[in-house]
Amino acid sequence: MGDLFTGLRPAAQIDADLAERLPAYTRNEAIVEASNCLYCFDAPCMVACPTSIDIPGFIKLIQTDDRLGSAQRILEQNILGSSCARVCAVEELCEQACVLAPHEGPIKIGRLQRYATDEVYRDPNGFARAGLVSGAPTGRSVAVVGGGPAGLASAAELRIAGHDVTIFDRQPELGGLAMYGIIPLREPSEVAQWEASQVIALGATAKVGCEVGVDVSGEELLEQFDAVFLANGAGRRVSSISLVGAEADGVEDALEFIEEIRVQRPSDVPVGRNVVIVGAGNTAMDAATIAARLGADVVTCVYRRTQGEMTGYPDEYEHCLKDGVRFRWLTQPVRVLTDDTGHVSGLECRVVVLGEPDIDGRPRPTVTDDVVVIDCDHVLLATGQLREPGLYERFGLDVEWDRPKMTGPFHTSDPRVFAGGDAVLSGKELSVVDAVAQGRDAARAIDAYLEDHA
Amino acid sequence: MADLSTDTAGIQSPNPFWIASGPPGNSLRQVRLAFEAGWGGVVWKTVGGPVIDTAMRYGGLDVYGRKLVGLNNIELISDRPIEVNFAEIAQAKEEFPDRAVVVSLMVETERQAWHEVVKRAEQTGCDGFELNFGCPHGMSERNMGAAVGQVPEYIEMITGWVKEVATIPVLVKLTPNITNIESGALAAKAGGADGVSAINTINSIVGLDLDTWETRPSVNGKGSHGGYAGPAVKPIALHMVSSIAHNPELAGLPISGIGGAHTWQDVAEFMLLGASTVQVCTAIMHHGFRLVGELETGLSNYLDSKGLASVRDLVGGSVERISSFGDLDLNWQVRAKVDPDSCIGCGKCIEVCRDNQVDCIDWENGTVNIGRVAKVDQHECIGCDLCSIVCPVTDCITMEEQPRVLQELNWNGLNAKVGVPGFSDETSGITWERFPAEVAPLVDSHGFHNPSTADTGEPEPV
Repeated sequence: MGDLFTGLRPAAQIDADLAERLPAYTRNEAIVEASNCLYCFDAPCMVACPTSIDIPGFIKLIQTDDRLGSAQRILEQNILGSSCARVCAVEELCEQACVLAPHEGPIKIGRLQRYATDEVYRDPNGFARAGLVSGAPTGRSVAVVGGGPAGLASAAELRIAGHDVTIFDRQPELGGLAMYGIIPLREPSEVAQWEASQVIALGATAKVGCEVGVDVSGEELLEQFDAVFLANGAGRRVSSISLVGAEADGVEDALEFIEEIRVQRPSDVPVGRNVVIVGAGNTAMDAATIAARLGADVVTCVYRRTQGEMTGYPDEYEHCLKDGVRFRWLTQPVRVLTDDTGHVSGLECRVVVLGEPDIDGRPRPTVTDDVVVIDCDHVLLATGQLREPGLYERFGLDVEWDRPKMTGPFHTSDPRVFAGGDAVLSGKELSVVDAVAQGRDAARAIDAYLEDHA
Repeated sequence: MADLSTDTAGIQSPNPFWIASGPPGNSLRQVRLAFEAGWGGVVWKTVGGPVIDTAMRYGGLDVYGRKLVGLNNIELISDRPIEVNFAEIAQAKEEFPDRAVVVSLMVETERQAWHEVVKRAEQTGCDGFELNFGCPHGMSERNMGAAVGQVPEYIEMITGWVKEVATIPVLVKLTPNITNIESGALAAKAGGADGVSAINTINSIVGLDLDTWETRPSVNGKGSHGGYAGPAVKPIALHMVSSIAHNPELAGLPISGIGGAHTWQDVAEFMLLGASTVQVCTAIMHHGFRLVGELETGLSNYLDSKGLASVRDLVGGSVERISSFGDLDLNWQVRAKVDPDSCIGCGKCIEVCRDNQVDCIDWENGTVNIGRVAKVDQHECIGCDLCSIVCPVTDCITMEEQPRVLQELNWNGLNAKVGVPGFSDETSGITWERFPAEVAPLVDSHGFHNPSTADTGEPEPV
């Protein structure tokens, strides 16, 4: 992409601006914050947590200066407690449920969880120190397809149960979206790497750079393993938005752009001077933040609906505004314009009006004939992921639309094959913490299946 | 604006806020700062023979992240030469003639020694003496301080010696480390004391270092008990002050109240229970001298809000409210009521009622996570007040007085009605066997556990 740029800002400045946004609590800060927790009965925060972490319990342990005990409480429910402390939408989950939220403001549960889990983070024996150890060998084996949050959570739980586990992932490193899809402001990649390392320390085997269906077949897995867990996520490429000319230079998937940030020094990632992000979800916000901080002059998110319908979190939207990101609502890109070298030079859009609600309850956008052209040299598509149902067909599974047909919680049409995580979730449940809950609970279902089919 | 001037045993003071004998009153430099800030009086740090203090003299008690809820110390009396102290006391009095300057004294238990120190101290022009019979550590091991204060005969004897020569008021500072502080006050009065100061610090070990198993504070690996002070001791001090004020044989004995006072409310409480001045130390060790500004503003506004012209109108105002359990009405009933608009849904009340009392609170609107509200079963509530005490929202749970069902009756009255002659007042012969027929009809059933029912947690038969 010769017409994108690096060096728009000094590399050290970019590194600093992309470092983890929130500083860690000091011991004193954590104890003071923990002391404000009411230790509610039947605590709403715990109910709101998809992994049901004993939040009052771990906060009480912070307050009483047992940081390891606090980490144990978290990790026994959620092995990706370090990632979730950083990336969970706490303002929509535990902190929203905090009884203090409408009054003096919620307890800072996310930051306290980070304080607690930092006790074991980076420790090569961290999980063991937190009491997570492999169980007595059962002689049974499970293949986990996908090394993201759901896959890792299932692998840890299966190892604790004593089963052999092999994780297959097409990427060079484990972690899935926690590794490749989260911007460093929210979570440094080292966190995801450490969590994956701890699952390996529990005795799981990783086959990375190995795509199931390409490098190894479904039949082979079913022959070699007693059960298979499909945790292959919500797919990769952006869903089609009928954008003419999307193959032009300078047009790329926002997730790929974020992945570049993760796998190389951010200052080495090329960016345009005038960047347009298509979409207004959290991936769009993340990509916009990165583009702005890499030094783009103008960053614009275009979205066919309005702020009221966007799926990005309000906090992320506010962060974008502070970075100078512009938002163009009611704007539908229809065509990529290029210069004579074939590089993107603009985005032809149509003005949208909102009509009756669609099946999701959101107003249906209706494209008008009014044309708007936005000049740009870099387009990042953040309009959702496209699922890959072909994988399920290779396992001989019944498929419903783009997902495996589920015959019970985590059960597919083949009793040996289980599925969970983003592969089966949608909407707001497409999150790290929901994926962890899925992986953990799927592992319990698999364990029960193996028990019944000894 | 109300008049804040007051006096204790004739020692005049422009306001009731005195600095207690301790670290804040150990030098002219400090006392100047204190008086400039507005303190009405100082009890100069105890003067006496030479002492040497250790490093690490204090230990703080933090509760739920709040610093210095309690403070332990092993510091001794003034570490400055007695003549230096006397010179500075004289200077302080000269510079601030309207303030109360009281000198705390402690010397060995010899009549001559007390006579000499009193005569010498009076030359400073000070307004009064406070005899330190309370210091619980260090000095007591040298047969001074609490070693004297724990033996009423010694209190009376030494107070008598002091009164033989003193021409200004003499207060005796009492130790709480005694079974009944009234015995100390009675002895002081018998010795001729013009008033008492109560309380001194309480024997304590504030805590341990769980890494080394040493005490806090640790002096090179060893510790000793110290004297405990600060907000945590206030309830103990209030009780002791009230018991002195309430004792008919001590009626009229002036009291300077001490023990954890930190706010204007604390000062008002000490005064309502009988103190005419209130001494403060730990709060200054936590927040400095300027705290007196908030004490003065708060107390003054409180007096205005109550329509009181003088702070003296508070003194002893609650003493008659202190009664004994046998006089309390057993048939006066209240029930807890939750204001659903202010309930935040924390469930503290539900859990503590379930785990400690009668399990009469539950969610009003089922098990919803957000927007849930607690509700009290008014038939089951016993009016104990635990729920409102744990409720984090001010005035969310109120205790509502109930229409009277049974006429006023206290334990003494019950005993007079149904007690068995020949039994003592304490046992009365009121047995559980006699309860259903003879006692239960007279008293509200919320006040006792019905002996015919078992609380097994099983559902009651329909």
